Amino acid sequence: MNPPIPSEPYPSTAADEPTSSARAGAPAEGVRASAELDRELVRRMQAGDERALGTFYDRWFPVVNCLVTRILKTPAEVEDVVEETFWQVWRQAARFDADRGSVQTWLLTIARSRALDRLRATRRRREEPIEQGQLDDATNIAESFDARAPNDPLLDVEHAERRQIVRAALSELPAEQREALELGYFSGLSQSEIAQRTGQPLGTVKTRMRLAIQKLRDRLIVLREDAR
Amino acid sequence: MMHEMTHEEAFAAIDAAALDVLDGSERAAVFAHIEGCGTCRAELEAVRATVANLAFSTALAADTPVASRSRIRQRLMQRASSEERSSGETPLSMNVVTHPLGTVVQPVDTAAANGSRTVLPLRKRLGWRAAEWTALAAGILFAASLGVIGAMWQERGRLRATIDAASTSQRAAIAMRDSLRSRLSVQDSLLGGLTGRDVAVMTLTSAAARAPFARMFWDKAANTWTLVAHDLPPLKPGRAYQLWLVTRTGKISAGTFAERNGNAVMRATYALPADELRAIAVTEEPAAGSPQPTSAPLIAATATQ
Repeated sequence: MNPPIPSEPYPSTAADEPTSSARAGAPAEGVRASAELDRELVRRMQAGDERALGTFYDRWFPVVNCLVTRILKTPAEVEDVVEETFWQVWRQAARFDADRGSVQTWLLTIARSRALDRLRATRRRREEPIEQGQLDDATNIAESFDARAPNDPLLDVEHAERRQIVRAALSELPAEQREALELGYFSGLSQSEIAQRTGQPLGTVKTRMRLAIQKLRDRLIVLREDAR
Repeated sequence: MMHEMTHEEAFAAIDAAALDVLDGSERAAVFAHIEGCGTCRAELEAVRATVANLAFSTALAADTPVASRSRIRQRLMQRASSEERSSGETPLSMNVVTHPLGTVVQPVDTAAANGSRTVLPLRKRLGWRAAEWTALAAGILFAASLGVIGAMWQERGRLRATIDAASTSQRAAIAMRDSLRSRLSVQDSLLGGLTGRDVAVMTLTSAAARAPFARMFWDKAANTWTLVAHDLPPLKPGRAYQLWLVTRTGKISAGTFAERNGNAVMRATYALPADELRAIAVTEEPAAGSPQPTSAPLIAATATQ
């Protein structure tokens, strides 16, 4: 149980195993507790409790900010859309139906929709070509523990684990499936626009997206509240 | 005219509907079907939950100014607060009182304080009719009522202040409860990682005097790694400790961490076959972490199964 220090602590390696290939499991208890806390906060917002809005914002700002930044990039627009996202949550808390989905899904759907609305409006105004987004390469787990933004450290750990699992799942997708998914999710392109952009038949794009989502669904089942 | 979709056609397009990448007419047809189909609605919600997780694939925004975060929060809270004030204010209710001396239209909340009223002047007559005596009595009653209303209004203000104070305390208690509940949940998870049936314990040591040491709890069932370290030397600015899982084929980073007064607790989730692990080690690295170790291990242990 108390082993000596290995004489060769780092054995020579033929090929370093990439972290991105990790398949990790999430602590379902933590996911459930976190989801219940989110529901409680939304219930309090429904009752007009401003503190609940503050707590909810503190919990979710890092994730929403990352998503909106990925879609919009311009800091002023990001700030505006992040604010409008949480404002919409506050104003529409009464319309949230826990039977139809999680708070996380509801919030991130709002954030993405607002960001894409802004992106499309900007495109129409400027007639600028869209930027080719690239999914970030799955990188070292260490990044997940990098507490750059001051936040609840325990929540940071939970989100870091979730981030790690999602990125690992994405890294397992074939590049063309990941690209189709990315152009749809982050760039807000329709399937026919993706087909036009990638030079692939529409049917091929549809198949790629369907396969990608099916695989993700299988891989991310550990993140569901009722996973275990 | 919109093409009416069969259940099979709509169901096949739900992935794209959840991702919101359908083109106009197809989108309309799919959602028209989903509106009346419970199976498709449930499927759509399930796929939406999967899709929402893509938000977590984005890198942490390293350059997000803290000021921006605070600024947004401040604006949000101000908006919520002003909205609540405006919607919570009692509308200015008007009392319309009709009596034989005239009609008084008066805001309720100023009625008590305001002595001037739009009242028709009392007709002076030598001999009053019964109706006029009644009117006088009604006027006296009205004045008395105003006094009572004023007192009630003051009492209402006091009660309102009491309720506000109680609500503030309640909100603070709820926030505290939420925070404690959240922490309890993580502590439970931590304890599970230390005491589970499938937890392997490894002690990381060093040959140096007053050496740091650590214990690693590897929950093979949950794929969680919990490192508890003591007597770690203070880190220089810009540096961090990094944990490595050494396997037959490589060294895998399990994350960076910092010490506080020489102590540290670090958790990671990583799936690794039980027979893959050969050793674990901690090195000192740049704060952002290194793809591979750049220094000799500070503490290390060989794997125990």
